[in-house]
Amino acid sequence: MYSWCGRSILRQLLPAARSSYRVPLAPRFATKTLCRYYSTDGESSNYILNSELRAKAQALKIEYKQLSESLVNGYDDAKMRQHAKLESLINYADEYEKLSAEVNDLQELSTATDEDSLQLRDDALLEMEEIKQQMASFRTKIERLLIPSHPFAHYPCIMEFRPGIGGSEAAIFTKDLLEMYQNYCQAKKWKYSILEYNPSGDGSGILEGILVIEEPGSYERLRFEGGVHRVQRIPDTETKGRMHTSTTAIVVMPQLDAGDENSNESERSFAPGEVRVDIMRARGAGGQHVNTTDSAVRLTHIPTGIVVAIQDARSQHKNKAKAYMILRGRLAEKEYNEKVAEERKARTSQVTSTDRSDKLRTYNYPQNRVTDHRCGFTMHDLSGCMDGSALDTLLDKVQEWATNEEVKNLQFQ
Amino acid sequence: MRILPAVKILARRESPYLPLLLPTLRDIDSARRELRWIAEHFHDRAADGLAVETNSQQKIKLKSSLYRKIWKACFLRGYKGVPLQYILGSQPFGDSLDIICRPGVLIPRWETEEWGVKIARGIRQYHPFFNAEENLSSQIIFNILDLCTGTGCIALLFAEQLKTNKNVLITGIDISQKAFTVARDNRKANDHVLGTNLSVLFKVGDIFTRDLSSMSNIDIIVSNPPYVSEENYYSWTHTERSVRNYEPRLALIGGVEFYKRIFEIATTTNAKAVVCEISDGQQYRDILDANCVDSSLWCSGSMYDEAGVVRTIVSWRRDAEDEWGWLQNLIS
Repeated sequence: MYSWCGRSILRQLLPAARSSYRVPLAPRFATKTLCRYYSTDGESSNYILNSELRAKAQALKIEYKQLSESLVNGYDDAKMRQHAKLESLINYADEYEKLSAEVNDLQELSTATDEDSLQLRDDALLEMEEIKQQMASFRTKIERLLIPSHPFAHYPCIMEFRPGIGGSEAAIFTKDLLEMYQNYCQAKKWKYSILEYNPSGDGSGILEGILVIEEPGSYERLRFEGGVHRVQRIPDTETKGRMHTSTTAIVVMPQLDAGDENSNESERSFAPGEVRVDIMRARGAGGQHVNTTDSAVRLTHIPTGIVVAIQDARSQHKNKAKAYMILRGRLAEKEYNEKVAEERKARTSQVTSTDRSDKLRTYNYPQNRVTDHRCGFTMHDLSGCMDGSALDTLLDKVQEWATNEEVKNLQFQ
Repeated sequence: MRILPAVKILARRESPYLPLLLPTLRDIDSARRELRWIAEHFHDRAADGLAVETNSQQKIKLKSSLYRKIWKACFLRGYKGVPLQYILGSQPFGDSLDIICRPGVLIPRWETEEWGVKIARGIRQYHPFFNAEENLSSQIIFNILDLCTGTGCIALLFAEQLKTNKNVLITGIDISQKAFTVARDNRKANDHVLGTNLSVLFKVGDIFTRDLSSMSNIDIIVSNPPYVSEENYYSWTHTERSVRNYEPRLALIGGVEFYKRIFEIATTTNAKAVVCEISDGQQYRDILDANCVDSSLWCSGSMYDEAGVVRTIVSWRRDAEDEWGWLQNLIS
């Protein structure tokens, strides 16, 4: 139970417990009430619309009625547009409610035990399956209308990998993770390239890696992968058989353009003086006097203090273009996160968070287990996860969790 | 500065090739980086052979020859100080070019790439020729003259950046036969930048003696002439040993006389603008003091590079203000 719910979080959650922190009972009690257990629903429930969304749809129905009435009295362009927007949503919601009532009836029928209805049972079950499928399609439609889509959802993405705590073992795990996402891309047949690859001293791990995935929409799929990934295993370098815990930090950001300093299509162009360019190791006379390949480039975005350094390619021009691409991605992500954080302030109780300081996943080798701490999902197929084939299951669960989070946010807007 | 024994030990532990690179590169980070480029280069070249070969004996032979090649490259780079570009045979340039480098021809520098891209993109964006309607300019050709072209890197860079449906002719001239051969090979290797309306010509010729008056209506002259002074060439604080030992003197030692000649050519060929690489701010003042640029005819200024050194002299005709006035924004 202590495995994922840190004490520091608990202390924040329970102001009362803070004073009596030294009493061991208080946090233990807290974990019992606040800890989310691993997901238990085995049956697929993807046809059920979240109750909050359902309530929201019903609330919008009233608004829709009011709008219709006011439109009868007089024509208004803005109102008309709002009306049209709501209309399709209300239609979907009505359909959904109708189907859900039908399912309830069928459910009764299928669980009935008396003699007469036994023959009907099979038919009812069959029909129920069909209706459930329809409901699932309506559910996605309603969700799409109610939940605002991410502004960068259709973009390709860039993933940055850096080892966290754990020394060389962390570097090795960072390399493993980079390979995991490469495998995932291969399995999905997505085009990818490695933009920066900085091997650690002995070559077994990496100190920095940047993976560029060219597939449009890959950002939407992988954006929840950004954060701290934790590994628990006995490293190959360990002689006494002790288990080590190390971490890797991943940053996922949208790839806004092909990475060109002056590209006109770029969503974000920089004012002169906004970015400071440093040519590293540049010295003395330069020009024809020097022929060393001083290709390392460092960009500093002065207003935010973001620094991007690239030294991978032999061409300084290309390094600069790459650095600009990464800087744009980081800024876009930062802006978006700030916006989200602001919206989230409205929520008083914030039990879970997408905060980057929390670890979001644990890879436990001795137990062959991968646990995502946000959605509480555990998978006992570590090798499948690391070779990318089983990662989709995990990503689906995370996506589901993220949708629910979005819904919770909706209430406060 | 002496390389610490600790660094040498560290390098040896990491890779047997790494200590070889230290004498020239001095620090382990850059040695590591160059080793990676060298290893990648030879691995890429051997990859096809290794993939095809099925005989294990042959495979081992290929692999050992690969390691020998890497060892030799590291030895030449570290102990002899041969420029990496000569060892690998190329230098990436611009957005998509890969410029062939061979001993006897100056290696393209990043400063040249930087100002070249800046100027070429400026032309593409602001020059009326590239913004005019199709029917107006279909008969006219945009003429670029690249003096002392060397590997042809500037000419090809402008070709790459200015590839549109407009007619562009780029002429590169160099005194050295070797440079001409390399430039021609470069054009062949980078033929994706050439188009139906865009051609690049290379010629051999001494700019001091060759009569260029047959070329008229040049729009812009670009040049990276030799600009290292004799004094700086032999001063170890100015010029790297590797440059002195392996790059051609002919492409390096020069001075104000080159700029004087370039502006003379500009006058005879009726050029509207001139952009030349220079050594530093002192040289810029020298050029102005020597009256190379007639200030009644030319507006001129200097442009810094990213390292904060005055790197180019940018001039345009006062009577071509409409076409070239935008250069004002680039100069400091």
